[in-house]
Amino acid sequence: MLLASLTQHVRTTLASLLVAAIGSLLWVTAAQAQESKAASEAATAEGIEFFEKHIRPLVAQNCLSCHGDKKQGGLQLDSRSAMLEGSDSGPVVAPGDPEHSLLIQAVRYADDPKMPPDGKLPDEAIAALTTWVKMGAPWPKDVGPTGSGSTKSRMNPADAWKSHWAFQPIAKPLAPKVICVDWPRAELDYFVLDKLEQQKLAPSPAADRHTLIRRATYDVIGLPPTAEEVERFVQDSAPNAFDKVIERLLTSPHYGERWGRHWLDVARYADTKGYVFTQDRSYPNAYRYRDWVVKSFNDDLPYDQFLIEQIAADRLPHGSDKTSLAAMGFLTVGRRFLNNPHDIIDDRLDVLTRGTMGLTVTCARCHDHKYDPIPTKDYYSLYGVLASSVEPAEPADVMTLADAEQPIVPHVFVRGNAGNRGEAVPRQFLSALAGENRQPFGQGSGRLDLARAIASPDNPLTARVIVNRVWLYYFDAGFVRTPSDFGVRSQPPSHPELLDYLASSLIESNWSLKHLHRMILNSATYQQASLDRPECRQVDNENRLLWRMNRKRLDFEAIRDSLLAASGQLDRTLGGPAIELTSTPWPKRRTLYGLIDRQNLPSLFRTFDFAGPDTHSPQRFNTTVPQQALYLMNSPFLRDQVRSLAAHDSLGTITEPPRRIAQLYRLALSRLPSDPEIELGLAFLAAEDARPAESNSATAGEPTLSNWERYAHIVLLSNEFVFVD
Amino acid sequence: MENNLQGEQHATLLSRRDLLRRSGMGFGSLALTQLLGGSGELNSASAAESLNPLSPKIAHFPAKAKHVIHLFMNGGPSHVDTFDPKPELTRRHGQELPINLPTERKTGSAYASPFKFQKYGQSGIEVSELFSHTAESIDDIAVIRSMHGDSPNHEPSLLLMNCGEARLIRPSMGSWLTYGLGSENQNLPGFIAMCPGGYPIQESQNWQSGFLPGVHQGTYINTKFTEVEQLIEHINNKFVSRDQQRRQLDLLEQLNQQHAQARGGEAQLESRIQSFELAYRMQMDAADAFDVSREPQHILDMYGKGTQARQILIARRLVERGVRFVQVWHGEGQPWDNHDDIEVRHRKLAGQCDQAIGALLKDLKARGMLDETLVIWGGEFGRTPTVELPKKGSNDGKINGRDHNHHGFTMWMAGGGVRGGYVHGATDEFGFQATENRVHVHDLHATILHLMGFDHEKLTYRYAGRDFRLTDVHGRVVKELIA
Repeated sequence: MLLASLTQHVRTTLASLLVAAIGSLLWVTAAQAQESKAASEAATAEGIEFFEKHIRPLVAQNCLSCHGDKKQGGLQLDSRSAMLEGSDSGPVVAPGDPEHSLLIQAVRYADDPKMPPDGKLPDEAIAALTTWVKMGAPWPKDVGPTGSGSTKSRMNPADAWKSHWAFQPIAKPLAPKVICVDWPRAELDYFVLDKLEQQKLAPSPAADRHTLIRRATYDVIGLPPTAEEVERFVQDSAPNAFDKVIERLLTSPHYGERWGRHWLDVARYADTKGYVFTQDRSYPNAYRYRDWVVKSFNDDLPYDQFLIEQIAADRLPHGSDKTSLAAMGFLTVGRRFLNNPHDIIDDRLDVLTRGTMGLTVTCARCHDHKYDPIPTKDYYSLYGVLASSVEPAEPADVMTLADAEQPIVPHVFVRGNAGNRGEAVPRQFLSALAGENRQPFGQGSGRLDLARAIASPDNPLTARVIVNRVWLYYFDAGFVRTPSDFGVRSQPPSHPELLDYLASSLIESNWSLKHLHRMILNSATYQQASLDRPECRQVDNENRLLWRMNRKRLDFEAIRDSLLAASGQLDRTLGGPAIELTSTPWPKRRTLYGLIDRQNLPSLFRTFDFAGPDTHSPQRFNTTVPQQALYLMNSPFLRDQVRSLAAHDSLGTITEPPRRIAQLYRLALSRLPSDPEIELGLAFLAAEDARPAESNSATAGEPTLSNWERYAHIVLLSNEFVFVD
Repeated sequence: MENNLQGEQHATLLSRRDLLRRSGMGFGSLALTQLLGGSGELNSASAAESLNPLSPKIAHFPAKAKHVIHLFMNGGPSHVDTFDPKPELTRRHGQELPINLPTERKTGSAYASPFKFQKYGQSGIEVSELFSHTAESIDDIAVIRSMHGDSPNHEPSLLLMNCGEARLIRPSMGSWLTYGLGSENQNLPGFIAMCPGGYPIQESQNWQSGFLPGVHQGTYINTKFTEVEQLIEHINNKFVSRDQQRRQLDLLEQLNQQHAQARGGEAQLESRIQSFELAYRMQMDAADAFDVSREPQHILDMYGKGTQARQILIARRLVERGVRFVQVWHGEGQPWDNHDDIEVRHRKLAGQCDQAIGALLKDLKARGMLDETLVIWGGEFGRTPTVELPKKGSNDGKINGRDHNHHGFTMWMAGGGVRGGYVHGATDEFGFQATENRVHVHDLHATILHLMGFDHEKLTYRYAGRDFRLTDVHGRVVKELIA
């Protein structure tokens, strides 16, 4: 039966394809007479500009890797005439008539063939192609790239990447004009509002003050606000009330803990080496890198300097204070792959290139990158830099690197095989970014040169990548949906101008991340309510245009830290060696300080979507599985937090049940309960108290929970506790 | 990050009722509408995907096999002593062979199998006395005598067998399958790895999720223990009774519904509400699944006594309840790695598991489950037909064991659409190297995925700018193995 329906399906598809093909054939035959006229009409300056801005990069990036020549379905898409010539089954573009253009049908994914085959283009791209065909498919005059009078203005697939947005210099776009001029609070809001208005969408109203301070507090320091902090802000009528909150948060040492942890995801931080036979697996000093990262965020170390120190602190003047060498943990705290040096270097290159520039350089280990402009030779140029670096024993107990006495001359390993040495390559930067005048790195291993090339304001990727990451942590989605892959196959940013505006602002502020935080936190975009609006969802289901704030779920660290904060047990000490989190007595330190065993990460971490410490982690997953609930319902850790919360000092003197409930809400949720919530609590407690004492079914020797404690437990399990509006 | 299963959800493998039954009424109204589109079709591309990645999904094409039980003889069982008889080896016992390939350690002359082989079943396939119970089901088994891998060392071979890549971090086969198919029972983990006593070599990397979401990681269970609370973390509450907990969760539901209503409802809020109900039921279901004492006596007798019998019986109970992939490791470390005393040690190891494996195959068949359960047997490699030479520090110097051998070894599969009573490929006359119809580990993976309904080239995951797959750039479906 299944087979029958499948055959039927194939038949229908074939039939519709045939109809479409015949239809377009007929149309084009009739239209061909007018073709030359149409072409010249279409090729207005406006049309050409539209083509250059929207269509050329689109086609180059999405089509030419297969349709750069006629091998794929006999279809070549690198010139207008080639498109009109079409494939074996006819033309694919009917200028002026998108509805009869196979190209448009294919990208719409309505029926087979669906193109590109590995994923539908974004809606904006499909709209641009449709507009372009409607315009008559304008294409600049058929002049070859050498101007030698070639009849076709061909795109060269090998150079297609040059028009990819991420390789263009970072622009400083002006804020666009908007209709609803009252809404923006910050310059960045104009960029967001402009896109919303283009889709006839309005932004959401501002969030209320309780929501706003809770959101900002979690976002900036990863902890809940206290009830007092909320109340103070709600009652503060000063015009700069929220500014004061922002400054308090950004100067809190907990800011560095929160944002340092985000960076540790990038750096695949762990306290162990992974599987290395029976050798000692621990990195007892990895924490010095973690603490250096936290401190750097707190000090607002300029981001360019932050990167340079992590790659080449040993090459910078540091006098007698060697603590800054800990920065090199960025490279050295990775997995040790049974001590295979090539795999260790590969892992370090991966962290370095995906982490800072969103480039998947390690794809080029065995062959030239299939899509991005990264030849294998470039991989081994960078390989040579790291292979010329050694790990010296350092009295300061930091995991640093130093240049080898004699830097190596790297050779390409043919197909990645170290036993098969190919040509020698210089230690130098990536060809796609270094430009025409690329010079081999001069000093030592070249690490400092490499660091400076990455952290340069002229590097088109570095600033954009970090801005996108920061945005992602605030909004739960980046402008670019693949935060560690800005290559030609990545989807274009939702707000390219805004991304550039923020990236250039970051550079102008001397790479101050706190400046970037202030810009975002002060924006109307950030301060929107998170309430769902079905009418907006119909236009933009994923909220790519930011017509509301996305509701976020707390991550593993924030959940555990919040439980400790609610129970009054949180130990806010900063820094120090890693501690085992899953054994009793429960450590009361922030989760950041928990020992991360890379080889056998406790299932608790995985259950709550912690960043896998094996490799660089672009973005955390967000799953909802019953094992999370099991932990919250049944673990002794929860029980102990519940008992502390229920016996909190501030509850001690309160005897009236409604007031006890109110204070419990303040401790757990930083707010007072509503009347119905108090009623629910009272009803639960009364019903439980009225029951005859149960025969003790709990495990002997384990403390049981009173009804009041069981009530407190449920407040901690509530959705409100783990979701941030 | 994209799931290339999208748009291929035409068939409906699970009916609505089936789904409800298997999930023990585990879905709330909203979760269910997300899972089942308007026309009753499964829809993995929807929000449900991100909410519960283990919700059931449809493969690329219809397939018989829905579950896998992988019996992992870690350490490397000797093929010439189990499923690959070599009379020529016996004839040349003690003589130097014309072939001696490099393995981990130096080996010497031919070493005849001390075990007797005999023909079994209609097919007449020869199996050694070590697996006489298993051999009774030989007509349901496809024996692959021409397996080969890449390395004579445990670590890379384990990773290759489990993850398709010997060194770098890649998801394991069980992770790929739960990623592709979800699981049919939301009250139990979708991928369970059982190993009594502790971890095998390479530890939890053998069932790692790599760059897939952590929920696809195998859930490790130490089957040395028998109490469910020792088997699954946090499965029991030790401080309130079940009735008390039920009433607490009722209160939670009310609080959460008020919270959700004030926010116009949202899938992720509803999904978390449901997760508590699922967890509540998991407490009962898991206890039930792991409690073999609930089996009738004749079943217990059939599987036999001991840890192996118990964990293999648990494996059946798990797939019966809809768990997608169950890996059963023989024991901590590398028990089958018999560089010395192979006769004594192999006899002991096989004695621990053969009866239960035989029972498993017959039991699955009797229940009508063999067709939908793919049973895989094997180690990370086989062993040399030549005797390992004594070397201080690496063996006991007894000259009665065999070294690792990745050049040629045997694995077998049964059920799940596999062609029974069939021998595929062959090693040379001594059993050193696969020579006919060679099957690389990548080919085995491609074939397993095919049996589960996947084109191994299309079950991909976009990570770091590349579409990754279990078989990387390799793999060929061995059509002859499919019934």
